[in-house]
Amino acid sequence: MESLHIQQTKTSPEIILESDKGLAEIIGESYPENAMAFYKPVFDWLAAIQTASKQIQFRFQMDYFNTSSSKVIMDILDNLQKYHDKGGKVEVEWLYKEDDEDMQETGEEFSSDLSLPFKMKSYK
Amino acid sequence: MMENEVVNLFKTYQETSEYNLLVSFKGRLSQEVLTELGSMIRTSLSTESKIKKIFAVFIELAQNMLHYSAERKINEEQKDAGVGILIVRENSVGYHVASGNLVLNEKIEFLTERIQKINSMSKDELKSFYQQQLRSERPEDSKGAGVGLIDIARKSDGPLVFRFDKLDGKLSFFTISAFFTKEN
Repeated sequence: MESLHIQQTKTSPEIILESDKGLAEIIGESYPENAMAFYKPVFDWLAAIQTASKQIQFRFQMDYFNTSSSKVIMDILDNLQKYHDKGGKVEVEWLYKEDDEDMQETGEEFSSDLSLPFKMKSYK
Repeated sequence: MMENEVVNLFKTYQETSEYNLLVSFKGRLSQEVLTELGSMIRTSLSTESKIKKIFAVFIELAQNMLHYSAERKINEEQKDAGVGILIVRENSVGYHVASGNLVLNEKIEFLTERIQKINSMSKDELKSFYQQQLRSERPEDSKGAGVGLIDIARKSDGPLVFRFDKLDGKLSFFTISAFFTKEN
């Protein structure tokens, strides 16, 4: 299971996947041409971490994402929820700029159906 | 014949004197072009409070065109992308973001019903519809979640305006536009 650092581009976020700590971060903006293909490494990493029964800390710090990316984020959260339901240790952090009400509301909407630890945090 | 035609930009200029044309594009929309047009919007609207919403709506309409326009063109790298028209215009009361591209006639009924349903919903109803769609299976022919139009309606002000102009037995030209009011 490898750690991975994907640099951000104009249309895709920075992604940090640290296997030792079980830490995943998605930072920035996301509207790649094909969201499902772009995020495939994240799902591969999640599968490997979960096979190794490690704890996962997943941090979202996004400014904007399009609807295709929104669907993928939902898939990531569903994946984490399933791991949590099977006894896996999971924590999700949703960071939003303190004046970004849309991103705050989006986090609230995403977490409304989840029963895993989900923390909302604002930053300056 | 294109080579003999005088392009009358004065006429275009006069016709558009009622508003500012922030973005105007016609042709094969690649992801690269889409990204540049998006940057243009951000530059033009840097002081506008609804900039994030306008940008987001533009990206949804543009990516719909790139992925689903029935008119396709392949570039040198053998990558295909949709052809169509995109405009963003501004006047004293607000902004219009609009796209136009070819669609198969068999899609007209679905699109009409979808947009009419969305237009009949309140913001709260749109929110639940969005969440419900996001949690359901991906539509078969979709690269996203089938929530693009719902998202456009949630972010913009007022109903979505659309029309179909029939070309022949197979194709129609689909125009859709979203409106934003200025807060002042």
